[in-house]
Parts: sequence; structure tokens; C-alpha cells
Amino acid sequence: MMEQVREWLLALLSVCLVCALADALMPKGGVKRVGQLVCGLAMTAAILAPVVELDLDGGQQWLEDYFAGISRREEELEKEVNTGMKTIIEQEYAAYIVDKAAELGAVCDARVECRLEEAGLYLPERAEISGAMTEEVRTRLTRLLEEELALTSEQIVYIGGEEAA
Amino acid sequence: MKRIAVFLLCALLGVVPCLGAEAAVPGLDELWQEAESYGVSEGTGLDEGLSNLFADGAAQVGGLLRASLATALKLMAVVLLCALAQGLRPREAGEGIQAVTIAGALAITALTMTDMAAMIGLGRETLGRMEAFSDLLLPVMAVLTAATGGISGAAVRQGATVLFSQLLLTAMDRLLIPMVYAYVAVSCAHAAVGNAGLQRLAGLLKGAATALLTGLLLVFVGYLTASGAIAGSVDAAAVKAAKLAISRAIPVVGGVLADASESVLAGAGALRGTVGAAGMVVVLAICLTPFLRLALQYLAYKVTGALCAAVAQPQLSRLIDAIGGAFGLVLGMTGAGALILLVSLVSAMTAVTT
Repeated sequence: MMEQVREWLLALLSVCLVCALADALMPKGGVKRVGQLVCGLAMTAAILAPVVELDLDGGQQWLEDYFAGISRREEELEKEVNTGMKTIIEQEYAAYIVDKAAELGAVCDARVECRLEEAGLYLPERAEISGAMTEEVRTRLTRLLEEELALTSEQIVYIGGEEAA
Repeated sequence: MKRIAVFLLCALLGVVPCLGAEAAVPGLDELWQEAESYGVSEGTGLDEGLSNLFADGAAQVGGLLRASLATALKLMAVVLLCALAQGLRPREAGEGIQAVTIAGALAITALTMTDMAAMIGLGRETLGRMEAFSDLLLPVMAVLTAATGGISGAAVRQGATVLFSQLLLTAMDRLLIPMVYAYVAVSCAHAAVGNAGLQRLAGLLKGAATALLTGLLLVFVGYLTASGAIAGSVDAAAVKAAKLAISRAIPVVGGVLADASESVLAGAGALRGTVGAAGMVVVLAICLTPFLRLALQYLAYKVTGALCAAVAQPQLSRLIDAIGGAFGLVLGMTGAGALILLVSLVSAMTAVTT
């Protein structure tokens, strides 16, 4: 594109210089008038030449490529933001579980895996809770997580031995 | 003891999201490393950075002014010698070949060509350095803007800035620099032979280069504003839908999601401001020395042209003035490159999607 503009500009400059030279050399009278007409036609042709060679399809393709690039970048950004968000949300869920276990009198560590719902929400899919706790605490914590985080008992995995009641 | 342990664990887990939010931005460390090479650190604010730049500029301006004055004195010496030679010419010599004026025009052009090549190289190098820095800065700004909810806006902004920066570089390499050289050559030819057509041609070349730069900037700002407004409304609708989905979720789940969104939004928003301000200071730091050199050179030629008009042949003073105009064009190209980046950064920093 830029190369074509440069070529057009150089052609226009050359025609201008040749016309100026011819105008200076031509004798006055009818010859000069005809010469000026020819120069005017030559300059008009030089100005309008790019219109004849205009490649509209190429320009359209270039625009399509540009917009496709924007869409690709949008998808990349969405993926990057979602990945970061998923990690933070999993940590928030884990912190919530640890907090609830502490309220029940147990010290534990938790790891949560999330899945992206159709509505764009990250819901907990699996929770791994490690640390010693009694059967009663486990049962109460499982019920709590079923009610508040919509986890099923199969999705909650306890790692570590049971504490004596 | 048990309670203290639980509290400490909770506190630690509470800190993790903030650290995670900062560590998740790819390319941020490389960006800070690059910024430090320009004397801009993570804690440097916009005011402090501008103040440092002002101090740097004040320290450099003396040396650069002396170099520009030396060039101006050389030009004045040529013009005064030409005026002297013209004055010694017998009155009855008539309207033949203006040998003194031709010699003067050639001498002025020869004197300025080294400067011209150096200044064009400086402008091109500055744009290259800005492009290299923007390769690091724009993706980071896009991720941070996307994290605040403006995903479409961030993608459009990054795409448009990269596109227009590359367009400017390509235009400079293939069209604008040849046009500047052609402008100087035609101005020299006009000073030597005094053809009015050549003067118009020089004016056309300068006008075309100026119009091209102005048009590029106007299209960029217009496109950024229009596409930013459209993308902003798309992003706002997406944020609204996400908020609605959160409000419909189970209360605890909704609370966790809202907390996470808030922490990411606050963290990314603050970081976006810091990175944007640092990016602006670095862009200005890259431009500082080239801008000062080009601006002083431009002023030196313009002032010399004006002073010479009183004593020398008008063609020679017009030639000096025209060469000053060529420096102004190079200054404009460099400024356009900086402006594209600065406008994009300000637009990203002020983008609000909530």
C-alpha cells in the first residue's frame, strides 16, 4: 500500500518536473497552448492512475484480517482473565472451607477445583480437605458444604486420619 | 494457641488472592525491568517521573543549545559571505546566472545534510525504541484492562495502537522520509534557480507530509473513540450480565464470587494506573532527548532564516527556513509516534466498564 503511494507520488513529481521543463522550453503562441493542454492531460492521468489500479478486494481482505486479529486477541484476554480468576476463586472457596472447619473446631487445609458454568460462574466441582477431624465434624462440614457450596458428598474428599471423638 | 494458628492460616489465605492477582499478569516483570533502564521504577508516580524528566531536560538543554547555535553561526557565516560577494558584484552585471546564490544554496544544503541525516536517524530510532517498549507495555495494559471487565475495549485498543504505530513506522520509512528529502532537494533547487513552480512543489510536499501525519492521528483518535465507545457498551453489558448471574447464585457462592471479582477489580485497577503512569513517563523519557535536539535544531534554523532575511538574498533565507521546516516534519513524525502511545495509554487508564 505504502509502496504504491510512494510510486504514485514519485510519478506525479516526475510528470510535474517534465511539464515545468517543457513549459519553459516551449515557444510562445499556439504550440505553447497545445503543449500546456498535453501537460494538463498528462498530469490528470498521473493523478488518476491509482484509481484505475485500485485493489478493493485486497483492502477488504486486509480489514477482515485485522478484525479477525482483534477477535483472537479478545479470546486470548478472556482466557487469561478467566485463568487468573479461577485460581483466585478456588483459593476463596478453600479459605471459606478452612474457616467453616475452624468454626467446627477443626484445623485443616483445603483445595478446591472449579468448573465454568454456562452463566459464566465458577462453581466448586471438587473439594479436597486434609487434616485430622472427628467423624461428627466431617459429617457436619459435609452437610454445610452441600448446602452452601452446592457440592455433593461424592465431590468432597477427606484426606488424613480420623480423630478420636 | 489453636485459635491463633487458625487466625494466622486464614490471614495467610486472605493474602494469597492479592498476590495471585499481581503475579498472574504475564510480561509485567519484563516491563518493569525495561522501565528501570529508563530510570522509572515501580514506585515512580506520574508527578515524580515528570519532575525527573524536567530536571533531565534542564540538564541537557545547555549542551544541545550550544550545538544548535554552532550550526546557526555556520549558516549565518555562509549567508553573510554570499551577501558580501553579491555586494561586490558590479551593478552592470545584469540578470545572468546567479552564481553567488547557487553557490550559497549548495553550501547551505551541504552544511545541513549531515544534520538532516542525523536527525532523521534520531527520529527513526526513537520510533523504533517506542515500538519495542510498546511491545512490552500494550499486552500488560490490555490484560490489566481486561481484568477490570473491559475485555473487548482492551483488545480493540491494543489492536488499534499496534496497527497505527506500525502504519506510522512504515509510512515514515517508505514515504515520509523520502518526502522530506525531496522537500529539501526541491527547496534547494528553488533557491538556486528561483522557479516559482518548484516553490509550489516544495509547499505541496510539505503540506502532503503534514496532512498525512495529521490525518493518521485524527483517524487513530477517531477510531479509538468510536470503537472504544462500542466496545465499552459491550463490556458494560457483559459485566451487568455477570453481576446478575452472581446475584442469582447460592448466597455463599455468590458472596465468594463477588469477593473474588472485587479483589481482582481493585488490584488490577490500581496496577493499571501504576503501569500506565510508568509507561507514560517511559514514553516521554524515550522522546526527551530527541525532542529537545529536534526542537532546538528547528528553532535554530527558523531564527537563522529570519535573521538572514534582513541581510542576505531572500532565496537563501527561504532555503534555511525550509530546512527548518524539514526538521519540524521529523519532529512531527516522532511526536505522532509518542502521541499514539500516550493517547492509547490515557484511554486505557480512563476506561470504566462498571
